[in-house]
Amino acid sequence: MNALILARVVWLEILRRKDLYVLGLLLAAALAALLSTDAFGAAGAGRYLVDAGATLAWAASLILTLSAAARQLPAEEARGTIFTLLSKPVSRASVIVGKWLGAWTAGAAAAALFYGVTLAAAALRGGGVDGRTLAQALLLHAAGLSIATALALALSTRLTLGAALTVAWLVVLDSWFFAGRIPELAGGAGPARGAILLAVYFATPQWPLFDLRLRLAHGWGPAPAAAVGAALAYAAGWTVLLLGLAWLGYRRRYFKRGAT
Amino acid sequence: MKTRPSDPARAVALSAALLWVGLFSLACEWTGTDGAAGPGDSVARAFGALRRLAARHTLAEADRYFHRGIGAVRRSDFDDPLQRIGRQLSPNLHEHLDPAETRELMPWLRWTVAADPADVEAWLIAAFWLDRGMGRTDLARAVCREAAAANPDDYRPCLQWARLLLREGAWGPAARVCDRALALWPARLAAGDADAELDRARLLEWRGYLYAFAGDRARAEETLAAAAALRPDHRGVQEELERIRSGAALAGVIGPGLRRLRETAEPLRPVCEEHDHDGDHDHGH
Repeated sequence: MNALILARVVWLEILRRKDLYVLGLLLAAALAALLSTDAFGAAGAGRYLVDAGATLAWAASLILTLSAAARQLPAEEARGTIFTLLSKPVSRASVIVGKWLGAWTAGAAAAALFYGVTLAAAALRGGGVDGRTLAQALLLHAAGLSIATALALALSTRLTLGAALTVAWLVVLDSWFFAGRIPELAGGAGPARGAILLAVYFATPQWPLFDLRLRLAHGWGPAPAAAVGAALAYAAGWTVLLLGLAWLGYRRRYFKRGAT
Repeated sequence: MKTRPSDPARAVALSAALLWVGLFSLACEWTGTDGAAGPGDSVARAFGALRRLAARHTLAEADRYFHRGIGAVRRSDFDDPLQRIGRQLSPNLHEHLDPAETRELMPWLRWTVAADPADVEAWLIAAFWLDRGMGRTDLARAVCREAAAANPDDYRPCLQWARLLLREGAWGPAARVCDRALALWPARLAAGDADAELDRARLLEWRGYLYAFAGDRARAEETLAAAAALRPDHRGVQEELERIRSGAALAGVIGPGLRRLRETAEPLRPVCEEHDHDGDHDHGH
């Protein structure tokens, strides 16, 4: 119950800030620019809008979620409200879970909103997507955001806001652009370096697993339910692990007035 | 109003981004249609290279869209459950768009030619799929006209344009466009280039048929003989030459050569290059 109240406070804080609206406006502006493309007079091309819109939805939702999650605990400390919060009958585990829940659900809701804007833009061009694939894409997108939120929160228990945010982005970008290629590289890297590369591979959450843009934009249809289930289980595992680490980092954290 | 400490950094980043966009746009205007910049115009040169890089990227995206969103498929010796799940979630099959769906390529091809109007291949691919895939010969002709205007020193847009006009039976315009293409040939390809030689043979063949249709037997014979010299194995050209020499080719009557051009579809034109796939598939297109 305490966690839900804290999550609601996180939502209110996100709604009061301008980030969500600015990101939404940027997405709408980008889609409007893409809509104005004259494709040699050929009507009905909508895939590029779905593809670009989903890409921007990923970027915008990650920006929103990571920044929201990373700032929760440092901001409480900076404002001194952490003392008021911890003086209430709220366990530190509840603080962690509440902050995670608020940032995660807000990010997932924003992602759903961004997908909605994208689909509306695609519909203007005569494009559409399969409903089941869209549901899977949203579900897996939310699962990916869940790990990102937990990661930023875990880092923020021991790092400053700037450091937590930077490290979280490095991990996400590494996963997106590098970690997925490690298995290819590991084969030709020799036993020792190959083992190190594979350790990095398994120690990094694989966000591209949660990215169904290909199926969504290019009409490949829904993914097998078993694979979606496995990806969700993978996300749940990482989220629980990172929230556990966040709790371990926070449970005996000592706060001192005026320290930050 | 109090300024937050991070505001100057944001202002600098925003200004840099705006400056970049502004310079890029200016460079697009300055560098002309062939993308070449004057020796002293370093800004235009730098951004001209960026434009070509952007064009290469968008053309690669068109290729990816032609393969239903799947780019180069990576293979590794090491396999694990995560990769297996990933393969199920994101297909990596080799499939092509249905011809009717090739409209999805058009935004990418438009951006390619917007970034690099000198990329004649991108223009030709767009014209081909508009005609062959979507059945919009009118739009394909408009693309050829635009491509020819953007590349006034290249014969290839005119060749494609002439092909479309011949398919539509627009003999007069086709003759004019063929003449223009022949006047430009072989630019911008090298004279000894195999594709350029084949294209010249085609243009001479088409022009010869059109001379015959117009009743100009002497020029028809001369042009077709030149085409036959370039492609001695082309039976259609030999037959037309025989018809002209025997007096069977009458002015205003569509001969078998022109009829064949009207009825035969152009061979499929790949978006992608063979080497993009390391020969891992048979194109068939």
